[in-house]
Amino acid sequence: MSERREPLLSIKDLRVTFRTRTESVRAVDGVSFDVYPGETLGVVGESGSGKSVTMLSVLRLIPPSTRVVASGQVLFGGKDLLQASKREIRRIRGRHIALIPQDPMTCLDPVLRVGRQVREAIQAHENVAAAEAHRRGVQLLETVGIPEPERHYAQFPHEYSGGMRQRAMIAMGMANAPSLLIADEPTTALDVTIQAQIMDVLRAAQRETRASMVLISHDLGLIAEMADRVVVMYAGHVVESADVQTIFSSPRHPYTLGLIGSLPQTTGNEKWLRPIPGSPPDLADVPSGCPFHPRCFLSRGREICRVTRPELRSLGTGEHRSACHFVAELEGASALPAGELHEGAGR
Amino acid sequence: MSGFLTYLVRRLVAAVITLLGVILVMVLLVRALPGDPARIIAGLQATPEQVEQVRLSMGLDQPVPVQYWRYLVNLAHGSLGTSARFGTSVLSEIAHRLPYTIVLAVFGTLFGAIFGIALGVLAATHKGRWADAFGSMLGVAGISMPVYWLGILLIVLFSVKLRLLPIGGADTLSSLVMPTITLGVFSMAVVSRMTRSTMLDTLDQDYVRTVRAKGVAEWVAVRHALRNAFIPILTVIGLQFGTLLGGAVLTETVFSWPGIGQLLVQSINNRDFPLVQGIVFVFAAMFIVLNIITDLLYSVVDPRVRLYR
Ligand SMILES: Nc1ncnc2c1ncn2[C@@H]1O[C@H](COP(=O)(O)OP(=O)(O)OP(=O)(O)O)[C@@H](O)[C@H]1O
Ligand code: SF4
Ligand SMILES: [Mg+2]
Repeated sequence: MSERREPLLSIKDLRVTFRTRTESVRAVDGVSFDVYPGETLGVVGESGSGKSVTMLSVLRLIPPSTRVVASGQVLFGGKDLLQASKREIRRIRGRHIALIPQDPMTCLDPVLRVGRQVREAIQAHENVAAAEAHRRGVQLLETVGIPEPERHYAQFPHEYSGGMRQRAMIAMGMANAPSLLIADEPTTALDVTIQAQIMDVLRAAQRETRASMVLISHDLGLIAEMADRVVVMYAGHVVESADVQTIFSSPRHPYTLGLIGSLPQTTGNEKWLRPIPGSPPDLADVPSGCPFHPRCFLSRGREICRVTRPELRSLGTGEHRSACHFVAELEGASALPAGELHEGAGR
Repeated sequence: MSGFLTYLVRRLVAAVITLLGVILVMVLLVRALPGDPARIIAGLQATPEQVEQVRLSMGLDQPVPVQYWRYLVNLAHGSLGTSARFGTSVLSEIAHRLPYTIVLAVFGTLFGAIFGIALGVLAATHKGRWADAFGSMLGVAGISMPVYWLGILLIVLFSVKLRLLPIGGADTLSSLVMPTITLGVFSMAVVSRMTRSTMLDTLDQDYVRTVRAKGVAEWVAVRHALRNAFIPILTVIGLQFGTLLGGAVLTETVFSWPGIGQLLVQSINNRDFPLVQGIVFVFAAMFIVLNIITDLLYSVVDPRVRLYR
């Protein structure tokens, strides 16, 4: 996507901190990125890196009972969603930005028929008579590939399989033809055989509504396949961003290299797996300087990594940005071409 | 539907067995009285002839199994025996008074349920703010306030000072107000606590987030959360209705409400054992039926609940 275009969504220096009685969890710590019209932006990173919290903050959907502090800007349609009134944010939710959540098993109201929940999504923004809403609801279920939509419309969530629930969630998400779909690991909770089907449905939904999509995933294979651009997150920070080709062919951050290297790959006849050593930091106690330094192969104990937090800087080549003091030493490092990844990555 | 019938029959059989146990305990209790039960029932002033009369008429000369059997045979003929005091049928005494108690218990339950749920929802949606604090204050007050004390407080305020409501009796609809409040305040407190804690949980659930993500008004999300909180709330309401029958004893005494609670107190004072037994039996039967109804309601509220398979 061209950099000249106006972004649809622009996140600027977003910080989200959860306060508990004893500690402060900095789940998102100065995240900035843009989403352009029509594109699919992949957001990757290990569990707990702040992917969900970032995107939930966009819609201000962090559970209201938590003590949470958010700062920064989330610009959408010329408005800062963090400052918008309750009324304004309600008009955005579902209508302009829709959420397709991580776990379809827990995301449908168990005591209401699915059809009624789909209808609710339609009627939230449009004054539609019940019969018309019903007709459109059944049609939506059909669009996302639910068999016998009329019958399933009247069923309860517990009568649905996991894949069907996720289809229903997608139906609700596309009900108002939003301009942005946020898909938070839409397939993680599902059977491997179902995952590909669900991604097809999601792609079709995106095509139909011509929406942009933010696709959160652990699954680099899926990202390689779906995304136009990629944002890599670590411990509440963006550590690298670039278009999808660049990310996979010439990553410029040790963490991204590690992520790609930790994929199960086939080199010759040998399968090998090289996980990143160590584990993600405790967000209540993030390492000083570069948050990745305790696990970084490149740092080799150099002081600046422990002391100074690296800025996310442009590498001069298009949109490619990286937050590493020694990015120059990665010059020429390559992982593998995205094409090769498709077959290698276990999905 | 045949699955449902099997379920119902199973529950009813269990209910009958429970009631058989209740009757056995009652028969044994009369036996367990120190001294001669016939003399106790007939009273200290009674002549020996009168005592013998009581002994015969109550079957106290018979061994326990025979008494038990007689009670059951009577019951099968629709009789709960004869009141030792009034000489009338126990059943008709109870039938006279029962409607008053049921009306009171229903109103008390409704009061507790409506205000309890409302308070609980208010507290949960305003967690940590003054509405929450106010709600929990009312809750603590409601749970710890003795019925007698609250009843007298209300009488002093509304009858003596303001002269708005009658002190007691059951003559007009306004007579119902104070007994309802007195009886309902406790269950209001219990229901509001349960509602608050369950709602705090359901309001944070993913499916409520889904509802909010649709862009509906917050009260719609609250409604989803409440609907999902209903099972535990319904359970305490069902249990409360049972304890309300007991609470009716005190409330009816304070407000001279002519229900079976009052009758129970009177018949204990009169040592009218057949009447006491009859009332206890009816209380037990009602409690069991209520439990069955509550369980049936679960499956109405939550489509995942299958009572039978
Ligand atoms: N409601 C909350 N209260 C307190 N901490 C929270 C809350 N939600 C998230 N967090 C914390 O914020 C951090 C980031 O969580 P987030 O869900 O964004 O991770 P994620 O990148 O989406 O991970 P995953 O891949 O497992 O979904 C985690 O450390 C988590 O513990
Ligand atoms: S700044 Fe230092 S620790 Fe951080 S990624 Fe670069 S080399 Fe590694
Ligand atoms: Mg997540």
